[in-house]
Amino acid sequence: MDESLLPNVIQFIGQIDPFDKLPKAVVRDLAEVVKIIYVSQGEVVDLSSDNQEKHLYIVRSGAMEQRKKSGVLRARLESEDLFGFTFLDSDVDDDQGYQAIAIEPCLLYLIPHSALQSLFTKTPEYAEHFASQAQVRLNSALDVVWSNKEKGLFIRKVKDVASGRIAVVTADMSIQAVAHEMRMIKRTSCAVIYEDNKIVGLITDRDMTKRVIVEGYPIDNPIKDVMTSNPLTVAPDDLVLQAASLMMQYNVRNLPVVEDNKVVGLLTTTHLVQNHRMQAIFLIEKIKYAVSVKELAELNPERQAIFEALVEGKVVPETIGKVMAMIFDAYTRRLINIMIDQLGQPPCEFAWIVAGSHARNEVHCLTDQDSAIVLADNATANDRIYFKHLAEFVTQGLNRCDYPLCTGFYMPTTEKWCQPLSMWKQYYKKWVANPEYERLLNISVFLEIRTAFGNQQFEHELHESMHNHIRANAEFLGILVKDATNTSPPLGIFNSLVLEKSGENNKTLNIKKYAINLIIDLARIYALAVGSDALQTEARFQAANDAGVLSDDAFKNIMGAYRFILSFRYSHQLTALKEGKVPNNHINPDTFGSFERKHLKDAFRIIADQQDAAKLRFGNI
Amino acid sequence: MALLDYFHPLSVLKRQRESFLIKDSSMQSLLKPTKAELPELKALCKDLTYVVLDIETTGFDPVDDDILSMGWVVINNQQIDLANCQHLYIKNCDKVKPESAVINHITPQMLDNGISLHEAMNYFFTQLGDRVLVAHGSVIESGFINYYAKKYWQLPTLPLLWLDTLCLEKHFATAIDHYSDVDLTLAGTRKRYGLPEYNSHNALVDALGAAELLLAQQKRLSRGSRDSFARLYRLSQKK
Repeated sequence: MDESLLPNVIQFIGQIDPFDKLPKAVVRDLAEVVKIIYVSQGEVVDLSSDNQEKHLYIVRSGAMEQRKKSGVLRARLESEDLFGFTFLDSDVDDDQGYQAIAIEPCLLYLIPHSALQSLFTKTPEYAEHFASQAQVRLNSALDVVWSNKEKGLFIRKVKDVASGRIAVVTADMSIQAVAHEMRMIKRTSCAVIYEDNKIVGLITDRDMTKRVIVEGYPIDNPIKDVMTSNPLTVAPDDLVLQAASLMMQYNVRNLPVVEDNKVVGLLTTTHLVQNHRMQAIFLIEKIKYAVSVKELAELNPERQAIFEALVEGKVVPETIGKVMAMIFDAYTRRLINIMIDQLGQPPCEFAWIVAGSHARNEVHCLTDQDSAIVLADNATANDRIYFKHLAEFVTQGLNRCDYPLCTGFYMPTTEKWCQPLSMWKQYYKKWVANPEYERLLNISVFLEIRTAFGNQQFEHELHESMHNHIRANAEFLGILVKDATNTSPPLGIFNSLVLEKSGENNKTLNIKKYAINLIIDLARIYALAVGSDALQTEARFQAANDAGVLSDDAFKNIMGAYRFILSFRYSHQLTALKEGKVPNNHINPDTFGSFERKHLKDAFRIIADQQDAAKLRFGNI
Repeated sequence: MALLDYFHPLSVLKRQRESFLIKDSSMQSLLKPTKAELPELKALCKDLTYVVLDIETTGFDPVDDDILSMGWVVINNQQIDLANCQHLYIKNCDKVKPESAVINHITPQMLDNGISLHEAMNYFFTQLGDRVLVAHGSVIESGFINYYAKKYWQLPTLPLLWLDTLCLEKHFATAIDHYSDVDLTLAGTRKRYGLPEYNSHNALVDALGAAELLLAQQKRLSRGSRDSFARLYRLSQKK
């Protein structure tokens, strides 16, 4: 073939990994046998049909999704992406086969398998490029695992998903009568129990097994003896997401759907899974049963899908942060448990404490680790070796699950942050008494702590002693305010005044540094001022408002600003994820529309006003 | 129905072929496609084979200008098979002016390695056989081919089965908005279909571009490539 023949095809193929590793002449030979097809949106390329010649596909333009036969998404493909080469790798479990569906009209280049096979027979080392590529592609399930439709379920209402099959009984009915009602009449796994026209309890078939059969409890006794009192319920208009969060949080499988004290349906884990393949919600369940770091790390794409679903569904930022924190907690707990299984039971009482945004339940997709271990005061030097191993394993494990290590080393792997309770109390005393720069930094990380695992009492004691110290030192809040207001929001952002130049983030606004952190700092100051233990930023402002320290107007303003900026950042991160980039906090002002400009300006002004107000109220002037 | 079939452009072309009296010429290959069986009215788009042709010339006038190169690709089974594509430079052409060389990126040196116009035409027509001949703006290609047949072989206009992606596009555009002023150039049309941008002014690249466009256009028909070829052909006749 002539050198100039179809230079566009040769050039395109030649620049794609792994073809870029082949000699030009080989690429030219392959280009000669290329076939080109055009698939319209929604069209399926079935890769598993036996009767056709198999091909390696290159997406020239458009976008495709690869799905397993079960419908689970395997990857999303765009221009320059390849698919259809599992045949090259015998290790790949591909008995099920998969399909590729065009989500946009696509132009596809097809390279016959036979041409590649004969190339590899002639020059076996070329095969390696392709094999490794296949592995990489399979392992990098970076692409979303859930389709938009599946993700959409999160934001649907409970009434759209729940079933109407639930037994309704009264508290004085016998256990047997209730079982009969459940089994024979309603054919349901769950009954709601009323007394005096009020819902007082819930019983499930599992409860019957556990509490009646195993215990040999007399079945003529009233059901109220064995029911779960004060059951959790959901409203028909609640989001499926909220219901799922409740299920995960309290580890329940049945939620009666209640409207005006009337039971209208039942939401169960099983029927969610059966009907809607909504395993994303049960990520936490999966985390609980993972047995290795590797298995946990494989769940990362699902975590990302959940994050995307929440942001896309315009779920309020507070909820997003909470759900993501619940997932982070689950990873942490599971890793601790895996290590305990290996090392044996811990030699003394301890608490795994999370700090910073994780403690505040404000987790997003960039959140790194901030954690510490509080040991019982009777811990011996030998005991500490145990926790050193534990800390190492858990922090490294989290790192592999895409929770980056803390760059400031606020982790229990640092000896300073793995100490007995009495030492921690000393820390807080020192920090509050003498908040110099470094100590201020330390305390601002550990001002928010939450127990992720272990003895919760330690956290309570530390909170209490911290509040006592702060109350005793009038100057402390003032110093905190001074520090918090050192940075001002970028009121002049659109005159390019505060745009940072940092590496690739040329001329961008660091939304975290110049807006979010400022609000978080303010909330912390208000919470400490009113002695509130609230951790979430919104709850802290609420506490200050309840205590009359923050006016209604100021409260509404700062909440509005906070929510707007948070959702703005979430959308920014979502866009990055969708484009396959690493999400960050750096936002290019050129991408703002006039709506964003206006609202950002408003938000910055509100922050600046609040900073001034805090200075007046708490400052040491 | 039979009456409608009678006036169908494909039926008209069939009668033209039947009344095309010249059965013999010293260049037999030119006549071979005119004797081939035409597709049935109910034949499906996807079942036919297409040859998509593009020629580069020194200008638009078949009488004064010359063919510089010919490129074509074959669509078979809804696949463009690059193994069957061809790109020919025409030699012995003294009309490569510097201006046209810039536009077409064809230099006299390249043409020195080419083949004669007769060789090229003979080869092309042998390859064409009974397949559908496609071009984007076929008036240029048909003009040059018919003039070639007339000038060297004294043949009247050849009743070839031309399909024009430009006319198809015009039909699609005016179906939406009668007075629409859309860009019907190959590059502009491809852009609308989300097809990649190619460096044009190479006969083969343009032929490939038109072939990809045809695949996309067929998918746009109400029943996709399962629509009848007769329908596609009729749409392509509307000027």
